[in-house]
Amino acid sequence: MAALAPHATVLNDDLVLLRPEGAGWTAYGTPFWNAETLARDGQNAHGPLAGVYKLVQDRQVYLEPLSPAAAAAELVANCPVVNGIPELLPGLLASCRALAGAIPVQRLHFRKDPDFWGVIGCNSPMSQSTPRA
Amino acid sequence: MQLTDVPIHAPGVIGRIIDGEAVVVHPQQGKVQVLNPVGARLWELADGRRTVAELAQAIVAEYAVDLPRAQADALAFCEDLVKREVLTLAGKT
Repeated sequence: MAALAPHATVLNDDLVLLRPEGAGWTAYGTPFWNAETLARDGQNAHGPLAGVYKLVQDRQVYLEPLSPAAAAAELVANCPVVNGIPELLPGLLASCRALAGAIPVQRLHFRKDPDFWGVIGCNSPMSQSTPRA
Repeated sequence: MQLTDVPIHAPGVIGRIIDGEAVVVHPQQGKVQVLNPVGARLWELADGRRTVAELAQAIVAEYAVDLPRAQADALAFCEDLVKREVLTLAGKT
């Protein structure tokens, strides 16, 4: 996804930090980059969280809704380290439940082109500057 | 697995009911499961005091299903979760 968004600011391609702030949630970048996209290291940014998408490679581009429990489960499954510590699980489950109740959590079926930007309700930075054939 | 067995949540496994479904986390295995509403109800009922037969009776009382079917489903459900080490059997640990 990071490779398909060369003009976007990428918070991180591995781990991001999410925290409730005000009426919503904010996503923060972290220093933990994958080697393939380490060139983006230094894009230290944060911003309001509009949605959380579980990526599924597919031939079609579409969003798949998740039940509140499935959404919370996806979030828990993607919180490494913390989800393996029994003492922290009750708090993690509560946070993921709160996040899933506040922000849309869905599966994003995508193929390796920028079409997903339209599906998630954003205009691709590329499409704004480069007319698509 | 028998109808007289008494299932209970395995140590360390944590579950929460969310909108009728259950999110069950097994931290040692790093696995997260979502149980459908009937599975979530069985998870709630598996408290180490009720037998599988009693779980099935509760399902019959709450859902439109006959006893033989509920017993078969409860046995299969508990057997599967015991294999996954999400449930264990009281007195057999």
